[in-house]
Amino acid sequence: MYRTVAQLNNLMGQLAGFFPQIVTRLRMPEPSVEGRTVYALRLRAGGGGARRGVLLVGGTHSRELMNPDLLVELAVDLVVSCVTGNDVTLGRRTWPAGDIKVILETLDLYLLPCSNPDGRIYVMNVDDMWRKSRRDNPGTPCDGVDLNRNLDFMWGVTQGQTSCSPCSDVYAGPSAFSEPETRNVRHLLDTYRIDCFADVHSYSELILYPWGHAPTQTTDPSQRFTSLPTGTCQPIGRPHQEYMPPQDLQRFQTVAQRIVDAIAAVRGRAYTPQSSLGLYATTGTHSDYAYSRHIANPALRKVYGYTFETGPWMGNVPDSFHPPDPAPIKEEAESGLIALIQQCICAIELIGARFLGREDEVGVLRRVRDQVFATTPAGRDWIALYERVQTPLTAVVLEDEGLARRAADVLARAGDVFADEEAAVPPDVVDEALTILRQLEDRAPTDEVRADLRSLRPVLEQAADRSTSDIVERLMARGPQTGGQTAE
Amino acid sequence: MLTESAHTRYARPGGVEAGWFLPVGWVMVEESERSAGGEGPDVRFEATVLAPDAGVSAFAVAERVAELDLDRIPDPEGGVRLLIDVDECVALLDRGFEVRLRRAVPVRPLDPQLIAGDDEVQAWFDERVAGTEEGQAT
Repeated sequence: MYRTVAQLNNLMGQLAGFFPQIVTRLRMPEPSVEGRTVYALRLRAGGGGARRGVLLVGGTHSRELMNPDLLVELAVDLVVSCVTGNDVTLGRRTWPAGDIKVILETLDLYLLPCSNPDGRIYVMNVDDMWRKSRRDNPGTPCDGVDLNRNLDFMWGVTQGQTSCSPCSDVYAGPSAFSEPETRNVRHLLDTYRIDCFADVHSYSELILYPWGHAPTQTTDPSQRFTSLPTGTCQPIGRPHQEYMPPQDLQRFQTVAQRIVDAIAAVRGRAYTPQSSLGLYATTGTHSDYAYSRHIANPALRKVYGYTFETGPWMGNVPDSFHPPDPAPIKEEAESGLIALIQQCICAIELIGARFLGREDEVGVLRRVRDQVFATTPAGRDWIALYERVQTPLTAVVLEDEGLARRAADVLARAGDVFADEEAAVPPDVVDEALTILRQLEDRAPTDEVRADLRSLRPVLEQAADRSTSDIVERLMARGPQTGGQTAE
Repeated sequence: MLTESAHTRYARPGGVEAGWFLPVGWVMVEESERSAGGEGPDVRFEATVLAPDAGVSAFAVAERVAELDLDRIPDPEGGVRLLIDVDECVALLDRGFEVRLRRAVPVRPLDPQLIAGDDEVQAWFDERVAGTEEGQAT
């Protein structure tokens, strides 16, 4: 069953009214083209500022009816779990209440469940296959803009499924951000700190990440979209492969796999992670725009943007866009969204902000990660290991303030040492790090996390009195190997 | 009880001329949700498209179809599946594509049985927040 726009708005209002300490219903600055108010939700528990943020958007394409319901249900489940301490159970996948609490106490979540209310209403009342907004296109008999072609990324380049014709179902609109519905999304990205993003669509069981306009390559930084003309109403017209730093591609792929795993754990459905181009070529999409912003304008924060395509082929088109029973699909997609949200937590950043009250040392470690480790396959394997263990261990560390403060102290001293590449690592720092590592191993929630932690031990044991440059060089040459050894 | 803005009215789901008198199956909608109909076609077709000459890949077909700005939808077999009206079908045929119409998809509102009722929505919310108190937080 699908909720009307009024019912969705009402639920958001009720949720904010019921749990005002956690939920805020935000009125978007612009109404829809037909004048309807558009609402978002902000979820956050506890205090503290300067948090990482996640933005989830639904309802962009009118006929993809499940996703506005899904986002409201996600909000309710997260908040109720945080308040009651009950786990979130989605089919065979259980998300522990402790993990949900960490999410809401460390991140700001922004949910825009129904970005295109006019379209949803039109689908329910007139045409259940309507895709676009309800914009009147002057001088034509055709209505609507494809809101997922209207953002300022390669806008108006008619690569693949993008058109400059107002009668097309993939019409990009008269200009980038011509539509209030897309400007509302930009407003959220501009106004709040957003680090992770997903635009939730249907159907085909895909988790998509940039790029959508061209094949992705990681070796030639000179091939950038910023050098291509836009608004041409022509395809790119020459060979182009869009650059993405290898560490970003790895991050997209790693997180997409986590999302896929979390979805499969619910009832076994196998979603496919791939670049957006694998579905078909597009320009002006939400997820590409979100990720491209920091490239077009280096002053902006990097946002990892994904597109979910929820649900399988159901044997015909109407049932695929709005299945008679969407509940199982929403459950598995919710699990995938929680995985995405969880992956947005950065443990080191969190501990630094919360217990050190500054970013200096964290900034040093981040630079080592992004500018040094990310440049070799072995280094990227270490980053992947860190990203695997950080989420489960964040909950462990935050439950023990003494352990958290000691971890923060080691973090600060490591940051100081790594600021000078010739500095030697003091033995007492190594001893303390090993002690903390043992405690984390004892409390690790799974054997996989324990195995990952064990692979850190030989590195630490050999670190005392070595220069940081020597340690980094060794790590970049030899990736982790679970079982206590490192691999060549 | 559901509460909403002054614009809120109640109407039977799924109809442009939604009934204002039948209590069964009414749902919360905004007055403006009872949109007027469009001027598009009465029916579309779910179709798959093949190139006239054998050996042309789905990718190549997709590139050529893309020039027509049609409503392409994911195809479970990795081919090119479209939602098209009669004029668009003719345009494809004129360009030499082989078009297989899979089924007619009438232009009509969502099946009213797929739209949740207000009571159902409220019951869902009440059930989810059961055991919490209004204003409760960590």
